[in-house]
Amino acid sequence: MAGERVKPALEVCGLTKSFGTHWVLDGIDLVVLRGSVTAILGPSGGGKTTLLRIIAGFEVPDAGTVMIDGSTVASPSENVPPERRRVGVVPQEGALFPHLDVAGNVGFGLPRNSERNDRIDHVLDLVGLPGVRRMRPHQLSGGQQHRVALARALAPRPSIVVLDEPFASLDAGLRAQVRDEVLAALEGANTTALIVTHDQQEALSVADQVAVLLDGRIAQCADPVTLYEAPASLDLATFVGEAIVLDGEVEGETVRCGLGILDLRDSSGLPGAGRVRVVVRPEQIEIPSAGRAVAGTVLSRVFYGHDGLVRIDLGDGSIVTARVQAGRLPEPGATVALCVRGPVSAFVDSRSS
Amino acid sequence: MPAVLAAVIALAPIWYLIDRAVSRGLIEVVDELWRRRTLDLVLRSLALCAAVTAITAVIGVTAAWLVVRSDLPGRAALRILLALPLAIPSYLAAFAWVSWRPQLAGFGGAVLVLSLVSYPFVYLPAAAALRHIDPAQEEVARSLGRGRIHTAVGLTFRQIKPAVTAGSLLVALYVLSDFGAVAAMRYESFTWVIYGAYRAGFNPSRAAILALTLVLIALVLVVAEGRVRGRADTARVGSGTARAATPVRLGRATPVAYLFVAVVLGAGVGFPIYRVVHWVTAYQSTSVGLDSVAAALFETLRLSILASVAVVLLAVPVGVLAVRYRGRTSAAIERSTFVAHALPGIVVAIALVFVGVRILRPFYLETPLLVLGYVVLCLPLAVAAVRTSVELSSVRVEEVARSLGCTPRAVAWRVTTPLALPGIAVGAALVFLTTMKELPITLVLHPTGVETLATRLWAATSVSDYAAAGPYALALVIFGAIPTALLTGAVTSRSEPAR
Repeated sequence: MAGERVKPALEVCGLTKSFGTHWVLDGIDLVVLRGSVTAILGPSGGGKTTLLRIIAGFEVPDAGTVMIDGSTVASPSENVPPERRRVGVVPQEGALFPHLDVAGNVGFGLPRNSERNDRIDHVLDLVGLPGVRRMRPHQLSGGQQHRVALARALAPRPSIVVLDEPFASLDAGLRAQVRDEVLAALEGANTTALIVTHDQQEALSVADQVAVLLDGRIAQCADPVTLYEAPASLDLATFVGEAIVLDGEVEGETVRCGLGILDLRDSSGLPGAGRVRVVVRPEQIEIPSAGRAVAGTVLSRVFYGHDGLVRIDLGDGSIVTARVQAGRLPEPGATVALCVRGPVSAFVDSRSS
Repeated sequence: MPAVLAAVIALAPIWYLIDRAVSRGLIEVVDELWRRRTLDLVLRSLALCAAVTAITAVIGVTAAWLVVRSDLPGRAALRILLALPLAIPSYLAAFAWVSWRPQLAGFGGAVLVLSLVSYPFVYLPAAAALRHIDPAQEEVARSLGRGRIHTAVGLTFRQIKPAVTAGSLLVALYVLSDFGAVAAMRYESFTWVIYGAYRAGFNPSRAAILALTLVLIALVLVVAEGRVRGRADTARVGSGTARAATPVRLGRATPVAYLFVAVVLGAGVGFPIYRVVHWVTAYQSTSVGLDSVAAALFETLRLSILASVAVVLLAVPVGVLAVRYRGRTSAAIERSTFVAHALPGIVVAIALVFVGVRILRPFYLETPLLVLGYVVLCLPLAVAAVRTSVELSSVRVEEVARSLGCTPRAVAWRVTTPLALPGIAVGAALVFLTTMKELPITLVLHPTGVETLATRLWAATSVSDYAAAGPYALALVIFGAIPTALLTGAVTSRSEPAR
């Protein structure tokens, strides 16, 4: 996706910010390439919004720099005011101007000239809302308000658009639909976007690159597949996606645990032998199966429609959860054979060391 | 800077009052306070306060519930009509009653008149609070086995309690500071006695000492209300907006409800207007020339507009500062609205007399000092109105405007001001209405030769010349009703701010 020559739309270096004695951001490094969508994923109250507000220029960092399109907008020596940063902001609740109609909102950041009207129509088309020009914000649904807020941010052709928990205030049914529309609009505008979210599914499905913000630091920044399949730490493995964590022993390229002897995805960084924590994703477990199998007793199951989760007691004190296709769900109490598909990750057991 | 100016304007009169009070030494002050007469005065004022506050709480809450939560036919129109007593000056209502039945004069008459003109102070906030309660909570209470009345008392009234206590505080302060009604009813409460001491002239320090005592009592009320009110603990999960409540069916109680509304409106608005019209028609007010009514009306409008402009010019920066730069002073600013309500017109008037004589000699008995008096009296009202509307324009919205290329100055012009404009208009209307009706400050400070509707009406009625009073009273009621209707419309139909 990225060539060497592409200048990043956003570059954040060593950014720190504290409120009182509480370090909200503790040395953030982040690069967002032009035309890409990056998600900042982290638990609520983890400093994601603060990062976004520093990028937009609403907060001043304690240390570190922010560069947009190659020019520094925030550093210890200077701080460019928000109106000269070309950062489009879409706040969580939309924050439309209640005294203006949709056209007034979308055109707010545009100069008064002949192109203004065309531009308003164009971005409204882009977000899939033609024909709402004369409506007032309170006449729009939550999802519509949100798209108008996005159109407003896109209208002046910003270098980067930042969206704060864009879909959190929408109900579940609407969320997926609005998410698709927003993504299509971002793609249509060929804009660089930074999306802050606490919803891992959202982050994984929307972004080209996901940066996980834990305890004020970027714990890992990678494409969604890498982040999910090869998390950099046990914390990340359990934070992103569902994970079964088992005790295990490294044996060269493999690891022995309650689910048998499994292949390691990457054994570098692990000791040649010794106790580790093994992470298996529920969908890696297969029932029934042939080959290297271990037996277990089904404790309970939860049916989701397209698939279901089955809790299985391995008999050695550990309980695993398997994601099984609908129609193949075993009854509670049944004895099943399990095997693990694909390589797994393992981490040095920090509890024993 | 404007905030400092506003603070100086509010506090300077008080400083002069203290200076005046202790001019003959502290012994004198203690002597004055320990007199039997002073104690009686305190008790009489508190008794009036207690009676009116209790009655207005009942009337205000009942009226609010009827127009917001019941299915009373015509409640949309009644909602505005029930606020109309705000437009009737208390002395006008009082004269209407005593001119009809002179034996009403005294405690009973004062309670009657003050209750009828001040219950909107409870009614308006109670109605607003009732409208904002999520009906789902009441439905849950019902489904958990609570009866309808049990729910109303245990849940609904508990939730509107902060609004009702705040309203009751306003009523209590209004009663303490009211001058016109007690003077017309010849009930010796603080304000009337202070005015008497001032008019008598030989003992200005007595007037100052009594005025300070009155302010102290009012301050005690303000502090006590803060304790009683507590905090309205409201919590909502989820971001959905509350449904509108299903109106409670009154059924066979409808006529009773109508009777209640009819009595309140009839006695509070209908009767004074009927008496005023009666004065005009029955006595054929030939003694009053149309030109002198027009002149008084012109002066009244001129002074009210001057005061509104001056107050708004000061209130906007103060209101914006109060919202945007909340510091340790924020709590003080919150309470300052009430504290200044605790500054009765008569106290402001007497304090400004001292200020005028001491440092503003050229303005004494001139328009600027009178307008200054109105500013001291009304600034907190306007600040509160501005603050509420500035809060509507959230910081988030202003930040978005910044990110769209607006400088801070452009944001103030293109976002904050348009959003605050309705609130500023409400503040201006409030100031306009208050200064039109205002009596004691106008009476004490009006420039020589300048007569307003209020001073003309006062002069005519204090010698029971109701024929002469009629035209002035009529003009006052008509021109007072317009801003009141606008205000009530603004307060009761305020839509939810878009997010």
